[in-house]
Amino acid sequence: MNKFIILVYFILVTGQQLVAQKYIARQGRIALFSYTPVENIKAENNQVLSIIDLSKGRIAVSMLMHAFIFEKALMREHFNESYVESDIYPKATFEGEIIDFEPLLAGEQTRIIKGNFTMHGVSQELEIKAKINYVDDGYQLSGNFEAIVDDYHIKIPPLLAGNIAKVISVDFKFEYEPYQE
Amino acid sequence: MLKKVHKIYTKGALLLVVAVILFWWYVDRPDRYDVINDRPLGAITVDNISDYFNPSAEINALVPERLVEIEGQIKEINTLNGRHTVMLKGRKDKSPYIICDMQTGQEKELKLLKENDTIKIKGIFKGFLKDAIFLHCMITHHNINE
Repeated sequence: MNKFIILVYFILVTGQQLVAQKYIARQGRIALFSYTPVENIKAENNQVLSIIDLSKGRIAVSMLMHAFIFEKALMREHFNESYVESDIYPKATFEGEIIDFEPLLAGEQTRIIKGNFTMHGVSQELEIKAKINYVDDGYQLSGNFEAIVDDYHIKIPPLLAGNIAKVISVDFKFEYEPYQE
Repeated sequence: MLKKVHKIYTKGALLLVVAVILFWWYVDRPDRYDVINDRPLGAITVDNISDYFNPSAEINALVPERLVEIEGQIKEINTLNGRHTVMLKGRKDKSPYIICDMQTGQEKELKLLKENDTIKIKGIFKGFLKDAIFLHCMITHHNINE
C-alpha cells in the first residue's frame, strides 16, 4: 500500500513538473534609448510576448513594432513609417538558447543568451547577458544590449541623422508564469 | 511708401511667428490619441478574436492603428511595468485574450472593476501576438449584463 502511495506521489510530482516545462510572459517590457547631443529619445513596449522552454533551455520573444509608446507623436510616426516600416515588418523577434541555464537554481543567476534577433526583416546573431531570478513559481529575466541601427538596414534621412544615435540601447524585463495551453 | 514697406514687414513677421508656432506644435505634440471623442471604427467581442484567422465582418475591423470597441469579461487587472492593464477573456477562459493597456486618468473607474465583470472598452488595435494587443484603452461600459 505504501509503495502504491509513493508511486502515485511520484507520478503526480513528475507530472506537475512536466506541465510546467514552458513559461510565458505576456507583458514583457522592452525600452529603447537613443542618446544624442541634439535630443534623447525613449520608447517602450509593455506588451512583449516571450516563452521559455525549460526542457530545451530555449527562449522566444515577439513584439509588435506598432506597440512602442513615445513621448512625442512625431517620434512614433517617424519610427513606424520611415525607420522600422512597421506596416511592412510589423514584428521583431528573438529566438535563442539560454546557455547553461539551471531552472531549479534558487536566487539569481547570470547567463548568456545566444540567438537571432530579427527586426526590419534583417536577422543578426546576438549574445546577450541576462539576469534570471526564480521567484514565486515563475522567472524574472532582465538585461540590456545594444543594437547598431545600420545592422538592421534602417535608413535615417541626413536631415535627422544628428537626432538619432547610431547605437540604440535596449533594456528588457520579463516576468514569466507557468504556461497553460 | 515707407509705411507700406513697414506694413509688409510687420505682416511677414507675424506670419513667420504663426508658422514657427504651428511647426513647434506639430513637432512637439504628445503621443496621445483622442480616444474619448473619436468614434470606434468597429466593435468586437473576445469570442470573435478566436476566429481571427477565419475572417468575419467583425474581425475585419481589426486593422492596426484603428480605434475599436471590445466587449469581454475581465480575466485580470494588473499594474505590471507601472501601467494599468486589463486582460479580457471570452466564454472560454483560454488564449487568445485581449490585453488592454489603459489610458491614464481612469484609476477611479479601474478600482470599481473586478474579475468576471463584463465590460466594454475602446482602444487602438496594435496587432496580434498570442493575444490581441490594444493601447490607449478607455472604459465605455461597466457591468453591461446588470
